[in-house]
Amino acid sequence: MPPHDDLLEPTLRDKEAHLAQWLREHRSVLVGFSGGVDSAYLACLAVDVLGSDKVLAVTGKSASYPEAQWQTARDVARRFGVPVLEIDTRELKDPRYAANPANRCYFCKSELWSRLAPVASERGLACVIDGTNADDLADYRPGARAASEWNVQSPLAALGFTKNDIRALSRARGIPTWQQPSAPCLSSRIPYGIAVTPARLRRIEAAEAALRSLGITGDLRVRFHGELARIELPPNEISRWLEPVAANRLRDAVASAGFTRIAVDARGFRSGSLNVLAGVRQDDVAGPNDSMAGRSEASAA
Amino acid sequence: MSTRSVAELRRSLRALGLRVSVEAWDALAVAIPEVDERGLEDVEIRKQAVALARSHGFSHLAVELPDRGREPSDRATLPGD
Repeated sequence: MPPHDDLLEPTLRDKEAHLAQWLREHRSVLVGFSGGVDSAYLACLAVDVLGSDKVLAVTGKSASYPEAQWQTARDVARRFGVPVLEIDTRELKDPRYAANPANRCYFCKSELWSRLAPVASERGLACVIDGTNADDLADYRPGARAASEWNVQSPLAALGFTKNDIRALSRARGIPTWQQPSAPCLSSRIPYGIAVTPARLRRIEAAEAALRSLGITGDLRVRFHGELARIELPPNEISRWLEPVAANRLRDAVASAGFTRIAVDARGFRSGSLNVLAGVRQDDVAGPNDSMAGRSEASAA
Repeated sequence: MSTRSVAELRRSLRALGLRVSVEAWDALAVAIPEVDERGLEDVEIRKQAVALARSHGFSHLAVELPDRGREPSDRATLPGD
């Protein structure tokens, strides 16, 4: 039982009970573990339900994720007794991935699952699972095809867990990622058709870190448009960062990462923003709203 | 989706009272404010500006933060590119 079970609505307790039952039926699992909100919750619950000898969380490391995320993954694993294996993935060396087509995520996930599936077999783990949630199903996600090809199961999505459900359940269990902003891979900041390179990923990572150092919390993204960085801020932060003194600080922070032109998106953070720009997903019609908190990210994975 | 028109969007934004020039980067419109233009700090003005951008075929509108200390020709090349 979670340590703060009294904070949970009965429907959430029921959902978690169903997930626990699902895990018991599968006996042992390998969890694709990025250290994000979803996979952290799934790994912690799996250990709680099955025991640490029936769970292995595997982190696929590459330049397409920020270094800070690996540290988060390690911290959560240490605190909750989750056995972790880190492996280096090589999607950036795949020219089909690096060319950044609209189905880029397919090649990334193919690389990831092709490395993780044999680990599960070698260690006698019954199935491979990931942290895809029910909200994610609404976005364009070519990576889901790779998961299907490797028979990766997504119990959170299958059992109807939304991002908000997972945050609430994580909070009740004391998992620190409950309030962590969504963190899709850094390649999701680069419009389709513009090559993904380690140098560009590092520049994006540095720019976002510089924005965090200004005290900006919540969902933010630095979208790469060549020499132009387009900053998507939490909607309730936009007005104050367009004030002249603050705007200069914002500009200097992102310029320090190597961008020469810096712009603030007038609507702020939008999940899957570049899918809309590329025309692979319909835009919603909401305008800028300074009272709206950032939505959860449904990346193109 | 309507045909994208930078000139029409610029005219519309100016009619809204915004002294900006506009560049198109595919479906992204970048509004470049003139010196001392501050209208886009207002959320209601931004909403209207976004709606205008959409009506002229742009899915995104961004507000450039110009480096007033340098001219465009002085801009450095990109490290690592």
